This record gives sequence, C-alpha cells and structure tokens, in this order.
Amino acid sequence: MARSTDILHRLEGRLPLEYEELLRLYETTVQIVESELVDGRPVELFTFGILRREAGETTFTPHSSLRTGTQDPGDDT
Amino acid sequence: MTRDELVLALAWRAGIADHSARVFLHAFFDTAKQALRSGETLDLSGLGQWSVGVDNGDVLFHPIAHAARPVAPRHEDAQPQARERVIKRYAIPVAALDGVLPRSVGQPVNVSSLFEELGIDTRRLRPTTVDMPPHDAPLDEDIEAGVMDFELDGDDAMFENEVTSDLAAERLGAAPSVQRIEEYDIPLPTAVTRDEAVSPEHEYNVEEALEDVRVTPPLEERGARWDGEAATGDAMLAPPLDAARDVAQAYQDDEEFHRHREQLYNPPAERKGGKMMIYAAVALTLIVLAIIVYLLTEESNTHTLPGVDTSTLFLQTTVPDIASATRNRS
Repeated sequence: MARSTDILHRLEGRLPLEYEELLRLYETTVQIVESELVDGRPVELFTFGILRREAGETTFTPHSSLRTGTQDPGDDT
Repeated sequence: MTRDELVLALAWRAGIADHSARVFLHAFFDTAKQALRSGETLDLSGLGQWSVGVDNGDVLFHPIAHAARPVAPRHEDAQPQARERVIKRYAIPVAALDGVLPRSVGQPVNVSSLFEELGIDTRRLRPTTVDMPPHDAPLDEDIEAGVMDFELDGDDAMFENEVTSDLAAERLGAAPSVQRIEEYDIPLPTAVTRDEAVSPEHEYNVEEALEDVRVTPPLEERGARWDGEAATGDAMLAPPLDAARDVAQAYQDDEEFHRHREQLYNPPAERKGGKMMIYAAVALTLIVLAIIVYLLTEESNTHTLPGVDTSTLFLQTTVPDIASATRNRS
C-alpha cells in the first residue's frame, strides 16, 4: 500500500523541495479539495481523475489515461 | 474546479508561484497514478483510497469516512465568492496591484479608475456584446455598478482561453445556455472601425469598379510583362500597377520596420578590437596635439634640442648681389 507520505517521499527525488515543504503543499491541496467538495463543486485532480460529492457521497471518475492504462495525451506540464 | 483553478488556488494559499504549484500537483498525481498502475493500493489521507480491481482492472475508489466533515473556513475565506472570482479571472500578479489600487487586494477592480489613470476617455468606449460561457460571466450587480474585472494577454491568460481538462470541457458542454454580457471595446485611432468600413464612402460599388476596369489601359501600355495566357477578363480585373507598387512598398516598409526593430532589440555583436582601435586613435590624437602645443610655445624655441647645434640652424646666409656684380663686370 502506498500512502500519501510514501508518494511525497518518492517526490523528494524528483522535485527540488524538502519533505516538509511537500507535506505542506499536500495538506494545502487537501484543504482546497475538501472545501470545494463541501461546496458541492467537483475537483479535477489533474490527470488522475475527478472527485465529486453529491448527496454526501463522494465519487471518483478516473481519468481516461488511468482507465485505459495509456499515457495522458493532454499532459501540458 | 478545473486543474488550472486548483493550481491558482494552491499557489494563492501556499504563497508560491503558479508554475511551482502546477509542477507539484502534476508530479504528485502522476506519481500516485504510477503507483496505482503498478498494482499498489493507494491511500491518500484526506482524499480517499484507490485500488485496481483484480478481475477487470477497473479503478476502485473507497471514500474516507470523515470526508463529509466540513473544513473550518480560513481568515482569507471571509469573502469566498469575491476571492474565487479574482483567482479565476485575473492574470495580473496581485503584488503588482498592491499600492496602486486604493482598495485592498482580493477585491474587484474598478476598471474606470484605471482608465482615468491611463488617460483613456471613457466616453469613447462603446459597448459590444460577446458570447461567454456562464461560469465566466461577471455578476449582474458588478456590471451595473461598473465594476468589471479584466485580463491581460500572456502566459497566464491561457488558463481562461484553453479548455484542456475534462471538467472544463464537460462544464462547457453541459452549459444550458450562453449568457450575453457587455464588454467594452476601445477603438484605436489608427484602426478602421467597423462603422467606417460599412459607411457609404467605403462601400464597394460593383458598377463603379467595373467602370474603372474598363477605362484602365491595357497591361502592355502600363509596361507590364505579359505571358500571353489568360488574356481575358481576369487580366482586365487585375489591380493597377500603382496599387501593386503601393503594396510592394508597404511590404518593404514593413520588412524595414521589423529589421530595425530586430536590430534595436538584438544589436549585432561588437567586433573584437573595435574599442582598442578607438582608444589608439584617441591616444595618437592627444600625442599629436601635445607636440603641436609644445612646438607653439615660446619656451620651446629657446630650448636646444638634444644633440643638435641650433646656432647653425639660423645662420644668416649672404645673398649674392647680382646687380653690383653685373655693374662691376661692365
């Protein structure tokens, strides 16, 4: 199982940021996502998928690249 | 919230650049996707759990139990609607507006005050109607109050114009109707406005144009080269050579303008030794001037040059008296 901390540790080798800074950005992202979901707005998690919350139930729509297992053609970064 | 809005929101809250926020988010979710693809179960605290089905390979999502817990609003979320609009619409760095505008950062910008500072006569502004998606339309009360937000062209403007995400495409596709809002267009003095283009004096008259073609002399009389092909109506409808020269001159002027501008912004590299030549020329000039001044001073004439007997330089030579010699000979 890969936890969020594991993902952040893997990011340490790819980004020029310390773990504490990465953790701060992740927690801020979670706060933003949570506040958007509470307001009833779906959130697009880049090429991962879209989170929605309708009637108190959170659903996830995977990105097309995650469904088919191919690379993301719309990757712009 | 599209990915661009998520980037701007993270940059806003974390106090980092938009590019840094985009790189982090992209790298994080890309790494998470790779872990999920490799068969790992993904547990992102605060977001949920993901796993891949063994049978069909579908992605299974397990929301966390406390996901419905509301988050306490932060201090800067006191006016979430106004702040959200600023994040979505403004491409101007907030720091650039700090101290310029009398209102605090995060509030809608009164464009009319900016027009006054820029010296733009707002009476010349004429409203036009454009079609915009509903989620980009400003509020009606802002329009009535004259408070309009604005955008600048640039890298950040791509967030508004490009539909690069599934959610944005879905949102635009699911839009029930298109609102019509008012925007303001600033007519440039040198531009031909639409009103001028459709005015009677600019209106294209087919009959007059054909009459001009008929009285236009043949191409051979105007010195044009003629290849003998298509010597029919197409040739008579060709523009006069003067107009062609004007067009060629315009292209030439345009090329010259771009060439000058290119030289202005990218000047050619200076040749090596150019400065040394200038310094040498200045030094030689100074040396020559010093010699001239030295020679012109009175003192220099009284001094003896080293190694030279100046007394012999100014000896009076006797001029033969030709007249007396002739007289004596006679």
